[in-house]
Amino acid sequence: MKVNVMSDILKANDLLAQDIRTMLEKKGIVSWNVMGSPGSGKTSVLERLIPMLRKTAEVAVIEGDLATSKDAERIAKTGVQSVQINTKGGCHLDAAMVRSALAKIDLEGLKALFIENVGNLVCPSEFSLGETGRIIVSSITEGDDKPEKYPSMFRTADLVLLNKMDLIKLTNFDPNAFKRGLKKVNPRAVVLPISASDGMGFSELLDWIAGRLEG
Amino acid sequence: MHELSIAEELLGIIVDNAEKAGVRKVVEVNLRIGDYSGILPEALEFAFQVLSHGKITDGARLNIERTKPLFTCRSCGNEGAQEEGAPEEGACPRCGGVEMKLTSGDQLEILSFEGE
Repeated sequence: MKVNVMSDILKANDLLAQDIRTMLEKKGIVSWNVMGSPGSGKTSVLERLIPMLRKTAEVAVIEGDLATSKDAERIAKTGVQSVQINTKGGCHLDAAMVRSALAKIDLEGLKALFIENVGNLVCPSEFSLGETGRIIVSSITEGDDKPEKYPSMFRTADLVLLNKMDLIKLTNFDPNAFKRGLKKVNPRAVVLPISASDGMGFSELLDWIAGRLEG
Repeated sequence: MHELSIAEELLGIIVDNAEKAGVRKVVEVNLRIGDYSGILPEALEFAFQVLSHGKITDGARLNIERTKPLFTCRSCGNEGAQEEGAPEEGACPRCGGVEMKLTSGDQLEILSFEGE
């Protein structure tokens, strides 16, 4: 006999992600899935952005790593709630992990939630976390050809932060080549050149994030 | 990638549905996997076979329907299939709009299975 199923194999994750999305929307919280290679500067970007953003909107952060709570500790120093998820070998966060982490956060009064994913340009893109949008931190030291080489990741980005601009003179990184490559796989993504170490581009980044918060 | 955890999810879905339908042995499973899903069919087949040892899906054949990436322009509704890569320069060939949405090609679905 034939049994019709007609369902997405990853629907378990998608259903949980949808629950998370609905819950956060009801509370007026905008959430960002922050992805990028290991060492691209995801945590450094958040460390600089959060004190600026907190002047007008309360923020919390969920950190994802295989091991250690180093990143959550760095974020905690900014004074916001920060919860660490250790995947213990898992290469990406999934909705179940995010749901567990959310249970440890007091969501009252929050306007923005950043979920810093495991450093990885491949796996995280496949797993929805219920986020409002996706931010990729791509550092210029990784080379200007990454969008075309990692299309499944870059295709899903709303914002691409081109980090470590302070080092650009030491490399042969071509920002126009990067933008052309990105446009091919994701014509809608916004690109912001920034430097988490000297603050370049952060007022534009603040405007972009703040402009997308509720109320 | 993640074919192993996907094979686990797949097995779970089949076992649940088989139980409800009174199926004790599964001989064929029909899947739809898009070229842009990031999943390698061979790796999924291998993982599924390994996980199926001693289970109701032991020895079942996986039939995999592939789908190609299809883009739809958000501005004018024009549909275009791409052999490789993304819309050229991101613009719709009909209206020049840059809001192209992937409307097919990333599926990872179980359609049906057969058994007794």
